[in-house]
Formats: sequence, C-alpha cells, structure tokens
Amino acid sequence: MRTENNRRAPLPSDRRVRTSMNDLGYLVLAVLLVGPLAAHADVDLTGLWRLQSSFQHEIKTTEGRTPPLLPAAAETYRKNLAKSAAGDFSFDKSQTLCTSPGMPRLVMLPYPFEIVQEPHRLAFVFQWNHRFRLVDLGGAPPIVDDLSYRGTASGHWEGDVLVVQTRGLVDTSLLDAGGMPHSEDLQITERYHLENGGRTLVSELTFEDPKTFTRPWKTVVTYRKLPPGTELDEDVCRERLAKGLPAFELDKWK
Amino acid sequence: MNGRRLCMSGLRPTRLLAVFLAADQALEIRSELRRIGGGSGSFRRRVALAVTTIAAAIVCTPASLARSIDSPQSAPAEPSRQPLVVEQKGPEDQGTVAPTLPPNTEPANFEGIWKSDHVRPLVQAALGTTGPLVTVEGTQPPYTAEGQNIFWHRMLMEQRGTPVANTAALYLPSIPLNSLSLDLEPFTILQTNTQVLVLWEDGTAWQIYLNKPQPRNLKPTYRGHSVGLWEGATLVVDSTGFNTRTWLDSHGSPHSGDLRFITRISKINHGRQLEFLTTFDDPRYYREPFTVRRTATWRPDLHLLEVEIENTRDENNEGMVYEDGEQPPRPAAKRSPGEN
Repeated sequence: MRTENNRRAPLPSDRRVRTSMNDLGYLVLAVLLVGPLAAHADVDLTGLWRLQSSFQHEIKTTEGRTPPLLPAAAETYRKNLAKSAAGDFSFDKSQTLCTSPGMPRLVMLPYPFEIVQEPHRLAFVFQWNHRFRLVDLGGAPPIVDDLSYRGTASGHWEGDVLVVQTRGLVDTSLLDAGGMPHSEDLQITERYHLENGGRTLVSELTFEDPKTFTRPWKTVVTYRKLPPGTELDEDVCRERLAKGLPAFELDKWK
Repeated sequence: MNGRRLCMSGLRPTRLLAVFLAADQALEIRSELRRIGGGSGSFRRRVALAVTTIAAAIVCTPASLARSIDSPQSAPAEPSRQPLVVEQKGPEDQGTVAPTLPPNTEPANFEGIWKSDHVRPLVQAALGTTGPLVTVEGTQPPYTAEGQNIFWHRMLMEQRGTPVANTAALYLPSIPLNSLSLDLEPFTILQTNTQVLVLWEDGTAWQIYLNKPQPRNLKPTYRGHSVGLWEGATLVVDSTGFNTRTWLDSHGSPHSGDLRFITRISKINHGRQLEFLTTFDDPRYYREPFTVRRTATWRPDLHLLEVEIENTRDENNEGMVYEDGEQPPRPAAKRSPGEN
C-alpha cells in the first residue's frame, strides 16, 4: 500500500504557482481544494456493516446470470462446482486452511465488517478470521508491487460515491465459493454510496479480466448498518477447522 | 528449514544468531523485492518465508539456546538472581535509522507505518540471558510459585526437544502486544475520534475503542478487549477479557483469565518512534504488576503486505506438545539399514 504519498514537503515550484496567481486564481484554487474535502466530510462510511442482499455462493451478474466466462475458465468453474457439490473443497484454501478468501469474497461474506475512515485512507476490518483491507484515498490508481488475496486498492470520491479500484489479485484466489477462477489481470471497481438515510450501503462491483471473461460485467451488493456501539466479535477460523466445523458458518448468518 | 530441528541440532547460539540474522537479511531482501515488484513468485515466497520465520521464532527460544543440553532429564536451574542483560537498544540509542520522509509531528497522531524495534530475542540468548520478558528494571517478571512452575515446565520441555506449542505455532491468535515482540513485519495505525486501529501484516487487528468503559461480562478471547483514552499526547489503553490459551511472550510466561494490562503509548525521539510501556497485572501468576517497554520506528518507506499461512496445523510442529490435549505429530521412526 502507498499510504503516505499525499504528504510531501512544499516544492519551490509550488511557491512559483502561488505567487503568479491573481485573486481569481486563488478563488478557483480554493473551490478546487475545498470541493473534494467537503465531499469527504459529508460522506462517512464509518461503522459496522452486514450483508443485506443474499449471499451468493455462485456469483451472478446484476441481471442474475452467470458471468460471461471464456471457455477455459468456464470449464474450470464447472469442475470446481462439481467438486463443491460433492463436498470436495480442495480447490479452495480458504475453506481448507482458512487463508483469506480474498477479493471480492471478503466483501460478499455474510459476516459483519467495520469501516474505519480517515481522510487519506480507509480500512475494512472483517470479522471473518480477523482479516483486513486498506484503501489508499490519495486518488492515484493502485500501484501493484505484489500479488495477494486482497489485492492492492486505491480509491477516490466522485461526489458522494467512493470509487475503489483493486488490482494485484493472485490467481490462486477465487471469485466465489463455487470456485470461479480469474487471472492476475483482474481489476475490480467498487462504487460505494449510502442510501436510506445512511442506513444502507450499496456497492456496485465491476469485473474486468480479458483472460477470464468475454466482456466486463457488474453485480450489486447491499449492506445494512448495525446499531452504533456494536463491535466485531473475535472469529478464529482455525479453531473451527480443528473442531471439524466449516471455515465459513453460512448457516449462522442466514 | 525446519526451525525446531535447527534448534535441537546442537548448534552454538552464535551460529544460530547468524542464521537468524541471515533470515532477517532475507526479509530485507524481500523488502527490496517488494519495491521493484515481485509477481506471483514473490507472493509464494512471502508465504513460505512467513511460515519459516514464525516457526523458527516460535521454537528457537532462549530456553533452548542459553544452556547446553548436557542433561535433558535434570531439573531446570533456578533463574539467575543477577539482573538480566537489558534488551537490545533501539534506534533512538543507535541512530541508525533514517526514514525517507519526516515523521508526523503531531504528538497525538500515531497514523502511519511503523516497525517494531524488538525483533531479535535471540540476541538475548547469545548473551546468555534466559528471561523471556524483561522488565524496565532489567529483571525477569515477578512470577508467583505457580507461574514459575508453568514457565519452567515450558522451558524444560523446550530443552528436552519436545517444545510446547504456543498459539502462534498452532496458527491461532496471540495477545495483541505479542506482535511487538515477535513480528518482523511492519504495522500501521489508523485513528479516528472513536477508535485507534493497529494492523499488522499477519492480519492481526488491535482495535482500541476510545472513551468507552470496559463492557461487563466479557467473553474470553485470544485478543481480549481494549479501550483507551488520551492523557495529553499519551494513549492509555486498558486490555482485559483474555482466554488462557495465549502466553505473554513466545517463551512460556503464562497468564490467567484475570490478566489485565495497561499500555501507555506515546511518541518519543521527535516523533520517530512510538514507545509502548505495558504494565501487566495478573495476581495468580505474578506477585506484583510489572512493566515491559517496547518501541517501534516510523517507517514510511515500508508497505504493508499480506501474510497468509498455508500450512496445516501439524506441518512444522513435528515433535511439539500441544497443551490442548490433542495428539501431536510424532517424529518418524528411524529404520535400520536393512529394513524395508
């Protein structure tokens, strides 16, 4: 993550820009600077959220269809679905070893998660097995220096919408519990906005991966806000596995 | 590399120290890799390195290194009454760290990337110390008789080559502050008006809720529950509600369900370091409260990566003893040359 790239010492060029501007320039500059800051102040995603829309064991498009997979990916998905139906989860380390299910599955689990929002970055803290995810709000696109399950995420505000781009997702992770594959070229764009007086969080996710899909596609997920003061519970996935319980307690959250 | 086998192979502490310094060098190399981009190979290397490092840190404790294993059946020697050697000095004393960006100068703003300065417990071992935690006075914790028995048992098991697995060895959570002692990775701090959030690369999240009392009837957990308040530029954190599976350190210092500790976190060294002064209170295992100091250095040049464990519970744990009563994996039986 690049979290500190917004802070830099003033450069001589900054001074030259300022001293050459007239009063109108100052006004324009003020509008440009204050506008985005005001948007930040108005939209606060802080709090605990829980999936409101249905949990998607097999991820679907907004229209409820199977995503437009290329033939090779479709074949892999078909095999994984068959294994899953037979109770064989060997294709998914999150179910056998409690490794992170990664993106987008982390934000599509029925477990609660907490958003901690700062002006320059934002953290998702997931209850499931104490995973987290950081989003740099510096505005620059994500710079991927390592592949991971959660990817590298950066975001910016477009009015009241938080736009988060995620790249750098390792291709051993999956897009759903059924085993939908993806390549390392996958890019996920999430567009978050509040509805219902701030009690509902809506996320529109766009998936782009030319090595896996014939075209970009979208799905929508909604979350409801949990009462103020609610805290995340400790969740230890390995403890469940040791007891012979599933890594994901989906029945508990129905 | 099998960390336990390494510890039990009779290598001298200095040799082991060199091995661990080499591991640390590997981490530094990894830091370089992350800057230039690593691809999927880097990802796999990180997983493997994390497993190796954690396993080695767990099993190569000072107990196994400070004394030669001449008589595994003998009772452990009483701890020295001499003050233990004080822990390795931090960069504030050495002046070796030169961050690429100036530190945040707001006294009560801990945001940013930090790296623990206390990362080489084996340095103590090489110097012959046997204490797991060292108090700010340079002494070992004031164990009660019961606490000392548990600690000695775990040290003796280590010497016998059947170390007791702590929760980290079982890929289960530790108490939040243990990460300051063991982790070789950076951590980051976010803070709002209601929470200070400390995130380590291994996924550990220490959530400190501000201006709230401790709830009643806390359900015991690995990480406990932490609340904090600001006293000027010092964040005072009260942590309690722990289960009894975790240790206070990687060596065997026990705690009961009554454990409570207060951590005073503040900036020192012109904002280049964070100081954590933690006073542990657990009357069952410690005669009186004692305070341990840790520091972390401002490292804006580092990024937080993702660390995931892809081992099963029994991998790397051969020969260890589990305190939860489950059967540990046994070393493979030796076969005679002619045996099939």
